[in-house]
Amino acid sequence: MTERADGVRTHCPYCALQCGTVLRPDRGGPAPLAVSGWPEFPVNRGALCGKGQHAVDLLDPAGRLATPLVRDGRGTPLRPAGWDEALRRVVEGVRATQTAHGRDAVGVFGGGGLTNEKAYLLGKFARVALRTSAIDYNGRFCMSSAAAAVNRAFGLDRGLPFPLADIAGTDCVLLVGANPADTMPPALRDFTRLAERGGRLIVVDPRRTRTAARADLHLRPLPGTDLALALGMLHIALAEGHVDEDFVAARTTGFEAVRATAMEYWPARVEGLTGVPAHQIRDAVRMFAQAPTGMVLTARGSEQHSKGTDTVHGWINLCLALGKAGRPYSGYGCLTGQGNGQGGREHGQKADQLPGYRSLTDPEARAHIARVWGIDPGELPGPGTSAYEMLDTAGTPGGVRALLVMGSNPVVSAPHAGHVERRLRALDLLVVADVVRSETAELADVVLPSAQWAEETGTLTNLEGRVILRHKAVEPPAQVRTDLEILSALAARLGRTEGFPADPRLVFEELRAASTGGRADYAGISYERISAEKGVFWPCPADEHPGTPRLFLDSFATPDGRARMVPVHHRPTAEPTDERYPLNLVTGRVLAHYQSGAQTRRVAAARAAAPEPYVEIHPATADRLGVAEGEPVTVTSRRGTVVAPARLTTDIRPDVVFMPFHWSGPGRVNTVTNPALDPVSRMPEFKVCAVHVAPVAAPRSRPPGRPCAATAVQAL
Amino acid sequence: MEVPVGRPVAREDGAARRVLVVGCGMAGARFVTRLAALSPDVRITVLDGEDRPAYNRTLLTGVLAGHHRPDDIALPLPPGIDLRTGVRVVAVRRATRTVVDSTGFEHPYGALVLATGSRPHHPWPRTRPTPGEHHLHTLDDCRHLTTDRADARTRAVVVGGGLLGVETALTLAARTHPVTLVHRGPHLLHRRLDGRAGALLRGVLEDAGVTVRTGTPATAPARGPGPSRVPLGDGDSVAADLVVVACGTRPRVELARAAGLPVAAGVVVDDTLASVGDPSVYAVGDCAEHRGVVHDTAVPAWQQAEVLAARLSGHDPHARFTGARTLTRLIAGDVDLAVFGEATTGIGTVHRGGARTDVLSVLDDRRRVYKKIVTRDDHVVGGILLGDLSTVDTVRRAYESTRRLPPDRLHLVSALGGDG
Repeated sequence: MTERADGVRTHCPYCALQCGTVLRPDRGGPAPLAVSGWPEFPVNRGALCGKGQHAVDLLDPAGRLATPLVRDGRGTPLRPAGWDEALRRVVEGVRATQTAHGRDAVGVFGGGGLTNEKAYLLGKFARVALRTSAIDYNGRFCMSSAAAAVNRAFGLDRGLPFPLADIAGTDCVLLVGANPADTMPPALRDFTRLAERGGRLIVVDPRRTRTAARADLHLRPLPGTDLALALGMLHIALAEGHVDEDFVAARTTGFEAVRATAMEYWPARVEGLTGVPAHQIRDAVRMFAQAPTGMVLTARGSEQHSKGTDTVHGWINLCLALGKAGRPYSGYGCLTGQGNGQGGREHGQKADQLPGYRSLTDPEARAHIARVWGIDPGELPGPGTSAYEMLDTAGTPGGVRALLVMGSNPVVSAPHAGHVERRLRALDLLVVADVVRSETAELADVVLPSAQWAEETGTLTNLEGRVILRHKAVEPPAQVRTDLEILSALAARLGRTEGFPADPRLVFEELRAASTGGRADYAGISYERISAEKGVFWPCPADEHPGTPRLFLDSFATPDGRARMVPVHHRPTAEPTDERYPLNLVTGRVLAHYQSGAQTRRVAAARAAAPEPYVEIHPATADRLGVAEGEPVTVTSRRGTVVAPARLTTDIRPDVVFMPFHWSGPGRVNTVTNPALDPVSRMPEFKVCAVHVAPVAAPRSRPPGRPCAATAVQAL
Repeated sequence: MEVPVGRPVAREDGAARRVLVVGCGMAGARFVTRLAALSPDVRITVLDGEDRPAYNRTLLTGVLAGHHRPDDIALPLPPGIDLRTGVRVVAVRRATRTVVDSTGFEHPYGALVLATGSRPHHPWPRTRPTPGEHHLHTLDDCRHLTTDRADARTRAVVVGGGLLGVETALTLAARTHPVTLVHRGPHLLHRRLDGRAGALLRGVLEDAGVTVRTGTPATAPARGPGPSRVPLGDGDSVAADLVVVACGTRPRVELARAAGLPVAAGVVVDDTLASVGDPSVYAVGDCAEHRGVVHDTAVPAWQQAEVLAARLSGHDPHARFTGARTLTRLIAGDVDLAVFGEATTGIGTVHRGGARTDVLSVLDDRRRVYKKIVTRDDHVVGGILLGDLSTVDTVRRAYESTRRLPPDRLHLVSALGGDG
């Protein structure tokens, strides 16, 4: 136990806010530690949501993996094993696969919850120890569309170009496809302060979420039409003379082409495409344009589409045309989802990237990283395929035959999850390193038990681009190892005894050197500075550099310093509704749970607050379908059927149904979601697919409070 | 993976590799752009009588209002097409599959697409142009009109109280002209709106500074030097420095008719947008008549253009245009109006052809809000939303839907009713 009299100052294991927490010993309590908010940490200023308040419950040995597990053969159950056996199985499997099918037949699938050190070492492990091009991560399902657009438009991808607290200081926030009231509750304080200062909030969401209920104006577009809405708003801004011509002339390129595209989105047409009444679009434009400063913030609702990259460009174009970027309290930002969604995409676990947000195809970048890694640049593999494509082809000729999954649960979180599950079962070798026996671990041949947040030290980069440090506060269970220890041991057994330290500080020092000169430059960031300064914002290229809380104030990170406006057009969703599948399904999160639920479904308080998935349906739609409140319904797409009880609410459009995505089994909504990919970002279209909803054939009543079979939490 | 991509399919007609398009307005330009995107190797020739075609006609009143510069409303055209502007087509020779243009040049075609659009209807005989007399149908019209209304004290008369007339009058009034709107019908938009909506709309226009004269036709202004007067049918006359004639449009079908193609109000086409008299001739946009309807607005024209591009490119040889249930929208100044389908049906007209017709209406004098939904056999067949468009999405979905409405329909007119 690393103890300090006033507790250990660290961070929450969950979302991208990375709220500051204080851990103190709690020998009398149910967990070894008690958690409280860290009052001085600027992001949350002492506040914690329910998930964060119960984070220490995850440390309870009862809910987690205690030893490695191996499977002796297909169809046999996982059994406990020692580390030596487990690691030997992995290395033998990797060698056999690469001998038989080539190096790229071994894949690595990482996660946006891994620390920077793990993400970095995982990427290095793939390229140096495995020498495979096949590495990607679940951030592809999360941040890739915003990242692609922001890189192209601004030359640098950081979720928010300003500290979160700046939200309170702007005059108008246009929040698109984001529901922070449920996904990152402590951030609501900034929205409350915004309102107290007289700032306005416009929310764009097909549902009247708890966030939308706070808005001055709520636009409810049909799912998959945000891009048309953004273009329609720009059209009105042009017509009404709101464009900041001076800003456009001085700070941007490409406006004329963007103007030409926006002209095709006149109000009556956009109303027909989006379902948002024209007067509301106009009101939103005026409210946003007339505010002296303003921000557009998007999240997955707008991004997880087969046109997600273009949609983000649509919002960026609006910001740029109105001069609301590159200035204090103005700009486009993306609300990152996973705990290290930001850092996770900077350090080389992405198929096409090297540490420091470098491109794997850039010869200079390859040379630099090869130098740091002590290898020849020619040894570095090229870019691999994206996350869904790797899963989609897993176990097939040409696809990966062996897969190491670290910090991800694609059986629940990947689109078309039934198909993904079948592909994972077809692998010759599936290795899963995780804290809990997740649904993906259940399919594995080898399961490696990992340490978790409070048991190891490491940095993460939150949605603001603030690099923060989690401190080890408690020892992991005896047979549990950190991910760095696992990678270090595997690398050694694969012949790489050098270059894979298990000590996070050593890994971070190497990461700093690797990132030096890259777009995400961590060279001047140290554990000591992070602790002393409550986080350091990248880029921070030197020890004496103060870090960069606000980007783009003087110039954008493009070669000419100007933001690029990119002409984009609306297009229909990959799967429009039709007579057989007449409703649009959207997915999202609930307050009590996080991501695939692998962690939170094991927390009693979260289970009690939200025991099961549900299908949100408008009462008029429910009435037409013969669906009653609380009764199970089937939601069927071209890819499968899920079952969950109906929850009737007028807060959703009548042509849309909603399901949360935290559950497995019959209520796993990703069974039905559409893996249609964005051509640029390779982001799947999680956020809209065409479905058919029906009451379960034989209606039955169930006693209140008892979870239905479809949704029971899987036995641990 | 089920990403819908273009299926590489056989062209329905090899000769369709050479596509000739007559007219490069809303429908023609959209068609050409989509076709070139889907099938870059197809040879496209476009002939248009205007010197600067391919602009967004929907935005002409926006140009008049000063919201857009004329250059801004240009529609994109793909590179690599053979665009000939200022060239009229004088004949279609279907037997040889050629088209003769005004320069005498003969263009062969595999597929001929007529996108000739419409022309403004003129209410009185025009022997020669009258100074100060305008249409608002082309960008040139718009330029001339903008030049002529340079003086803020210019007295303007708009003849015709349809959608374009109302929008034009409001646009001119916003520029501080004394504006008179003369309409021969009993109330504004009398073919589309019922009397109650017409009266409310009149009030809105009057508040915006427009003098409205209904129930009387206008006739040709007297020619002569200086300001003229527009004589009205009731014996009165209105002083005018500027006259805008907005009396509706008629499909341009002369070419098709001369070529012997079946023409009713427009060039008669089937769901493939092919002429019912010649499968290698197509028509889209304002000049086409589909299932007895001439869709004279941009959104259906673009839908038709996209369907035809999908067919002729081979991208989707089964693409069909099966009609469009569009809401006509007027969004100008303080006017927010949607009207669609059979909106003039009076309350109490409960049976029509044996089917039960019902009218749901709400009138709020204070807010000058009027909403009316006409249903037949529990399906929405028409309606009016004036002044409060909060339920426009609900109404649009109900109008597009083939499903029966529930007995309680208040959600169509009130957001408080819960939007079914």
